[in-house]
Amino acid sequence: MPQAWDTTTAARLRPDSPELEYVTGRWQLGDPVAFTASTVNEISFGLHKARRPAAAAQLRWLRDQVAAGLIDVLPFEHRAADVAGALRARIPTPPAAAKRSKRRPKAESRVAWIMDLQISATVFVHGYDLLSADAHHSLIATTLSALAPTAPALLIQAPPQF
Amino acid sequence: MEVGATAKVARKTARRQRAPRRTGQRVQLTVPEDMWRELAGIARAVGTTPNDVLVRIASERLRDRRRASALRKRADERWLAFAGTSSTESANGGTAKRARAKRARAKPLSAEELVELSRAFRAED
Repeated sequence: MPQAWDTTTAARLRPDSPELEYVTGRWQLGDPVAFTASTVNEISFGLHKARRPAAAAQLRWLRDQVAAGLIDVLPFEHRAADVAGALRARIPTPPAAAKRSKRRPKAESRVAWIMDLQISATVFVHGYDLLSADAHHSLIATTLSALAPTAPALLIQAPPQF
Repeated sequence: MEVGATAKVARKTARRQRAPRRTGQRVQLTVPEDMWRELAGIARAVGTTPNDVLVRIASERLRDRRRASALRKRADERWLAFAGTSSTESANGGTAKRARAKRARAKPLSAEELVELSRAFRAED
């Protein structure tokens, strides 16, 4: 099935990279990779915050790839928002394993968790599988299965080794 | 036929592009003039025939439709399963009939309560 990339995977996409080769290959086969709008939000934030010419160039390049249709962007629309709300009510805070860095402030952990819930919810309602190396997405997928037991499950795939 | 004319025909034949051989239905189509011109232009650029371009474009479009249809089907199944089973009530609430009766008896929330609940999103930790 079509796959959407989580932010950690998507952020690695850059010119002349094996990731780009992979994405281009899928596009040529008529099965383009997708990012969620929340992932674009996270990537854009990081690149804007960097305030470096190389970051600005990367953002322009990424916009061009989206405009050319190489990457589909899945919107965070009403169904995704509803599912994300239900997920957060079930799992309000990230599991201990998802609090990746002890240096990360509590508020930052909370934002990261909300973004992860939004990403999973978006991928779920658009019918995609999620490509992610983060273990906590499996927990979110399990919670989704509890929320919608008869639904086709959200499959979490490990990113290919580039 | 003169030698010159034969050579001309031979050159013309050599230049003529041939589409890859396919098996399937042989059909006769009426293609709008402007569409045919566009197909012929693409065919010249990629070194094939307008018929081949037409089949390739149809094939790609059909593949896209199949993908979109499979995605839509799975998206709808997921959403319907979520919307059909998701409830803001506790899972320990008993039968569906009792839950419906409970909902019917429930007093609507006030505007203040609704605002408070929406604020919980920002306060939750």
